[in-house]
Amino acid sequence: MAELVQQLINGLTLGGIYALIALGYTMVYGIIQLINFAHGDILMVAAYVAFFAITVLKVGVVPALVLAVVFCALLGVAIERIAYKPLRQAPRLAALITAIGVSLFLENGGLWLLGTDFRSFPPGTVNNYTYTLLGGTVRITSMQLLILALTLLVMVILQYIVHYTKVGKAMRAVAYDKEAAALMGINVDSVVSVTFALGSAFAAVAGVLWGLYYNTVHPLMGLMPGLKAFVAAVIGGIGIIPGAMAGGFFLGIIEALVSGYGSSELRDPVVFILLILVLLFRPAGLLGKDTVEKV
Amino acid sequence: MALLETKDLTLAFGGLAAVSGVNLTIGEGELVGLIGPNGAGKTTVFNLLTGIYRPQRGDILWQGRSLVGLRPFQITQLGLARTFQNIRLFGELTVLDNIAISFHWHSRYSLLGAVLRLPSYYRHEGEMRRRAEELLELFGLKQYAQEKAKNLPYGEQRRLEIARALAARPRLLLLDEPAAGMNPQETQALMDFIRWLRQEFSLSILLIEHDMSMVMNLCERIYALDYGQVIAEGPPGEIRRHPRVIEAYLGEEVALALAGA
Amino acid sequence: MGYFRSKNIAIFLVIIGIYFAVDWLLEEGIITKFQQVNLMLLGINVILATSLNLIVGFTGQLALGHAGFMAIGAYVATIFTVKLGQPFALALAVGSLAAALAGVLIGLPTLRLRGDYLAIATLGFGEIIRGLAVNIEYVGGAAGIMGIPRLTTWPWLYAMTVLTVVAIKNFINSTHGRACLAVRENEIAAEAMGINTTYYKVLAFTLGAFFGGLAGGLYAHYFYLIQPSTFSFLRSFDILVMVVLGGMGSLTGSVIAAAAITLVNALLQDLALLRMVIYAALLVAVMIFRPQGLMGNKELTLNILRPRGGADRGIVGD
Ligand SMILES: Nc1ncnc2c1ncn2[C@@H]1O[C@H](COP(=O)(O)OP(=O)(O)O)[C@@H](O)[C@H]1O
Ligand SMILES: [Mg+2]
Repeated sequence: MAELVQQLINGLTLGGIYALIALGYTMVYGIIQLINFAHGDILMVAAYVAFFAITVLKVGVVPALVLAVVFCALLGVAIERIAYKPLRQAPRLAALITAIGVSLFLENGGLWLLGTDFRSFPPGTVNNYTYTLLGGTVRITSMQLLILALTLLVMVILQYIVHYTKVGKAMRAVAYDKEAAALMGINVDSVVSVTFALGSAFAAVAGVLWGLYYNTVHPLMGLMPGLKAFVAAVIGGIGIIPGAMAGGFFLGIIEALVSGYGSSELRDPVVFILLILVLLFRPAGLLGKDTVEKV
Repeated sequence: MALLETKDLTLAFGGLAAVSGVNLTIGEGELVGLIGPNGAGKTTVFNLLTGIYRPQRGDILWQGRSLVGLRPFQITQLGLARTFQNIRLFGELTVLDNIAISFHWHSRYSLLGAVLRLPSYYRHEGEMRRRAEELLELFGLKQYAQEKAKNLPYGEQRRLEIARALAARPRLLLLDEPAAGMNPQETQALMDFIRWLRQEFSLSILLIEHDMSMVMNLCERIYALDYGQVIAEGPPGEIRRHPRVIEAYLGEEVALALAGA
Repeated sequence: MGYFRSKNIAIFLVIIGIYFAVDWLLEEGIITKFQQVNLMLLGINVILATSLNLIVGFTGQLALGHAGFMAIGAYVATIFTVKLGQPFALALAVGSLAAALAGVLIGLPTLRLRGDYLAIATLGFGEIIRGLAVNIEYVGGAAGIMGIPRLTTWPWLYAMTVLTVVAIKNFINSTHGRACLAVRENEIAAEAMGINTTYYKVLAFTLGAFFGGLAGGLYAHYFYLIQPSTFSFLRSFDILVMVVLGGMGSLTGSVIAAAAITLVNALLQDLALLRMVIYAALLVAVMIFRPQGLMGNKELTLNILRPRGGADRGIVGD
């Protein structure tokens, strides 16, 4: 029982981070139907920005986080403007390859500039307390609480933006029908930019948290979390915001349970088997709706 | 026995009954029309007949044998071929290849014959090419044989759709608004052509058409559909005067054409 | 008509000529060790790119798991030579067949999916294969298998590369290949014209997997060592990049792109990490300025000087 609770706590923490990353995938897909493979690497950039802010600029965690978020939001917008926008009318695959190219660029640019070393934050960057529950059998750290709190906060903010602000309404309109939205006077380009800015900002939050939680940064650190978060978005139903959240938590918990009760080597195959099962039996994802193609 | 018969054919999309309780009969060699205002469910009937959608209720009998549950390619191989209202050619392929693809299922050589280029490959490919060219000749499309289908003028694309369906050797040809977008002269020519096709290939034809004068002149029997239901059935003379048909078309300019036709 | 047209004879002579020319250069030691490695990679990449093009470019099924088929071919062939002491030819054949079988097994359920969803499912499949290899002690787990004998020689590599390209070309230019093209162009219309689209999708997938497996077997027996990480989704991306750069639906495009990428990689070798940065930037630039790839869906043929029709994939009654 205690073991189960412990794994659930670990799973929720990991899932929260996945959910944060998955939001960006799903928002971008919803708006321009692009699998933005470079999204995971934004996470890496954010972790490095925070790392250098803390080690070189000697600022605290919160300013470092803010800096990373702002930097990545701008980076996301720049990537979209430079690499994806020229390809909006091109075949879908061209855009997908471009996303792969951007991802390779960020990863290898990172390796080239920053080297292949793993780096750690200086000791005491965050004060990590451990709380025990259930008579000392279950442990939860302040870092985990912070991750959960920040994740929930981001989700509330996003829900607010999407449902109660003008730009959120514009986003939903563009996701529903780009041409019609443009005809209604919505500036599609700026909506796409806002989407990339928001998605990248969330990924930045995830990246900083990830770096602090595992206490390492590395140029390829975005690869696996990016892929997993993408899987989470698909499992939840790509293009659906609550789906990304549900998928993220679901995946995090599954991973924690497999690692805890099975072996951590089995974690990745299980995730991908799960992905294929979901695609086969609910192709539109757990929260998605199936549609019949009109002939 | 009728060539094709549907019994109580029904399909709804969500709450919308696109086709409900439709009974059709098509005899050997008949030319039957299917009319109805936009959204009446005509194309959906075609999609049901050709296996693209599966009926929620009812049955489709082909010479007494049920087609329900068969895949579209199996239905085509039994002898039903169709055209599409929204043209669905193989755009990046040549006109000749568009035709050859319909020959595929009845003029086969093995995979091994293809990869090893055995004599069967050369024999069959030569034969397919010859027959495809013949068909293009008949349809007046021969000069386009090596063009990409997407580069053809609109009218020629419509004609290629029919040629391609015919290459699949149907006994029953389903035409979905073949005259859409044509001017009166072209429509007239198409009518003559359809009559000639039917003779030449001893076809039965089920024709969806918006152009009333065309259906009235061409078809021996007509079914009128509205809101997914058959509201009238009979020879052109009866359909033209049928009060429910006139009512269904009221408000559409077709009503005028109908009165005048 | 038939085999003995002057064009076929000319092509045959060129193919034989290239073989003996390179063989001579190798004998004389004019081709350096480093160039030799890249020559082998080039052949393997040609096999990978053309076989993936069959699936993605000609049949229109976006698959991101080609490295998985390569892994199966590599592992199974290696088991046959290293663990079971079987001859190389048998090992390659069994490895390719195993990959083809995996192609059927994964193709049947997943090919119902369309576009991006198929891409995701096949990507997942590739990662599952890799994950399984990590978990199977018999094949060395994450450490992989070392000390594989170098059995992939120039004659083997060249023969297999030519065989793959010719087989795929002949397949595409047949009624079966046209059925695949029809699936790509319009699946619903293809089905309505009597084509069993499921069969042809699975067939393309199976053939592509077969040759992907062949490339894996050749790879394993040249580079001494295979590890699960060799076959990650990044390698699938690499192969897809070759297909798209060359032009989807252009076999000659795939050959040229595979060769070009291998060469560029070799030429930039000294730049080490910067090489990959340049490669990535080039990739993005090419996509922005020529999204249809080098060749579009046209083929480079001996008749390029003929004004039109040379590139047509019409019925090849010739
Ligand atoms: N795949 C589908 N999903 C949802 N609704 C559909 C689909 N196909 C057709 N419909 C609806 O069914 C009705 C009949 O359509 P259709 O058969 O195309 O009409 P017609 O060909 O007579 O103009 C229309 O209201 C149409 O919107
Ligand atoms: Mg219609």
